[in-house]
Amino acid sequence: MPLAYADDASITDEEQLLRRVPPRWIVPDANNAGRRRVSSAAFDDPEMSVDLASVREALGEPLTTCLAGHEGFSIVSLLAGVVRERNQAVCRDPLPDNPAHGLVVGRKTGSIKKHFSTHCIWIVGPG
Amino acid sequence: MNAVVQDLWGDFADSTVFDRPPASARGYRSAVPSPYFLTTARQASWLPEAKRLLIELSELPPNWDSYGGKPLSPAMRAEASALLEQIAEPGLPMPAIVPTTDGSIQFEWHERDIDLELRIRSQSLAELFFEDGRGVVPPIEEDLRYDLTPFRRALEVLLAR
Repeated sequence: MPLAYADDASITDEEQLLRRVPPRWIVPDANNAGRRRVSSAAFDDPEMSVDLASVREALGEPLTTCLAGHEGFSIVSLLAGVVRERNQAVCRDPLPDNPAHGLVVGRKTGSIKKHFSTHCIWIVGPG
Repeated sequence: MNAVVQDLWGDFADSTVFDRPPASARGYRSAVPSPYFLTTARQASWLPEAKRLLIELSELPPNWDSYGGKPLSPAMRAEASALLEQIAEPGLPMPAIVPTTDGSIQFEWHERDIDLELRIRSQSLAELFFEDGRGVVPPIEEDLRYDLTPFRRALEVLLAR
């Protein structure tokens, strides 16, 4: 069934899409000097929740707002342009308690999830 | 071999809610050659730890990931445990065992310049992703239904490196 979302052109390719990451989705990466990486499981959802950093900033809120009540979680950032390169739509989806909420919509194959895993940037890393 | 299989379901022997599933619910097992049913003497030392982790993941609270995540289901735990039994060969590094939002699981190896992931979607469907950072072995991205041979081959590459 096709997903009923269209890409929102008002969201620029430079927009930072913030994804909250629980500790269970952080895995060792011996291919990268033993650093930790975000598991591809973090990017599995065909309708993946994110926060739009520009909305947070416009509200005068820190990018870490989405960590409230989620102790031990991390935040990573993906650029909207990066996800669009992989045939994903980026949409606004404001919620009553989160006006910055958005979605990255589209099927995420293994290579797409790996691309996101290796192209995301830590905003708040694991402790 | 039968003794090993029976032991996999020992955890559930006293359960009133989870009886041993029918053969149709254990599709992967018949697809794996018998040498992959290993005796204790040939199993990797990390197998007990991996099984403990599976139990831990089955006890995750609802919404553990903040995205509505479910704990590992009993059926998926049994399937994952059986699969680990089959692949836990000495020399194979322990995979990262990662829960997914839908109550399933994936195994990941990121070492020896290899990225290898098996995402279990259901008891008859898994997604395989393999990439060799050295470019020696071609990448694999494939949905596996019942036959885990491509996964086994990817493990052999990892083991041989």
